[in-house]
Amino acid sequence: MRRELDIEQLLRWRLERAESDAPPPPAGIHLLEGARPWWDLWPERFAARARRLGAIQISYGYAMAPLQHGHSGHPVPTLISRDDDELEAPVRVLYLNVREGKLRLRFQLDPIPRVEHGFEVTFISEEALQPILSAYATLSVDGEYRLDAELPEDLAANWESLKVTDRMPFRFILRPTSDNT
Amino acid sequence: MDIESQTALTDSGLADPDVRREDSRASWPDAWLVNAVRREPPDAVSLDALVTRYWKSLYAHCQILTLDREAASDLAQEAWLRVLRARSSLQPDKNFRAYIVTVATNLWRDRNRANRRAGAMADSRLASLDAADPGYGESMALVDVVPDASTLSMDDQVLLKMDIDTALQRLDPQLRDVLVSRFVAGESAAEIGQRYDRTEQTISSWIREAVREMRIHLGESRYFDARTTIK
Repeated sequence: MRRELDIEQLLRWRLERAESDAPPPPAGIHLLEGARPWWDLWPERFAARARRLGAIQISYGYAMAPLQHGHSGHPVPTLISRDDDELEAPVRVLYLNVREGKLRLRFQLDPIPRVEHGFEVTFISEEALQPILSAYATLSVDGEYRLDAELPEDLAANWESLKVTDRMPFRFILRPTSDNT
Repeated sequence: MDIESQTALTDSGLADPDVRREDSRASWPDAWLVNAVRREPPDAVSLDALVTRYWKSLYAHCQILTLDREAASDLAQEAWLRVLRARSSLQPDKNFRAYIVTVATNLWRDRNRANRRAGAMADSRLASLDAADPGYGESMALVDVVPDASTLSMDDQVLLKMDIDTALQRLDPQLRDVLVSRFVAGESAAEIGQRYDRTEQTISSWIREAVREMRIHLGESRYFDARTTIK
């Protein structure tokens, strides 16, 4: 006997089948190991990147120059860290807002070395050159990278008054998401 | 008592000393488990309970997006890694299942967005849909006719799964996304439109197109071709 089903029922049936075909869940301990931050997994690599990042100087003239696409915003010293190479590529923060513990950030690479569809952004403290936050940024349709992240309470309090034109209290290490999980 | 205190009390065994820690986790509400995972160091037993609780539904959602077993498993695990890396910001009182499914879906969307940039054809095709008479075509989904899947033999179920996957695979990923968002995740056209920065009417036309294409693809399939006529 047959009865009529619609697309929604068909998709839900397919979903149920997929559930019954699911492989065993990964062990929590393995997930926790995989989720360790990269600077924890490879401290020597991090130390080398942080040293190089700390040595980047941005000239006053460059800082004041408008971006090629007409935006402005204080440049943030940035290191793009790929598996096989690393590259200094300043970032312009185009928008920054911290409200209710949540950071919203838009930035642009200047110049754009190679289009990446996303980055793991590690915020490195300007003074101590230590990692303070990690979040993911994705490329938007207009060539900007957008990042939303929940902030720890202390960072949220410190950054709440930051304006996009301020010198940022952090530097970036960007790791293309295609190079890591 | 707040969630933090409840978790700590139960964790210490004071709440029910006769119940072994490992055994009790499976019955904990999400909020307690999430809270235990947020702490430093995170509680691996609570994490196991949370992963086990939602693994199947997360994997299934990933499967219907990726249409590939291995890719679905990878995507589901990657969603977990993302969640765990930002675990300090987890909110115990929020719907955890919806949250992790959203993380996985966003990861999948980000990848598709990157792939879309590589080819303009799909974009131009959707742009032509944007300009089309929007109407309200979603209801046409209700006249699509397929056999009752629950009455099928195991062999036929395998065929039907393959045919659904093939039909979904042939959809542009963005159309697949709106179809899944609408009919699996239960989002409204307006909600989907906010994400794509499109009007509700445009999304309705995308959904209508997705359903139309599904009907065509299913109509061409081995299973449906032999057993039914798609209206």
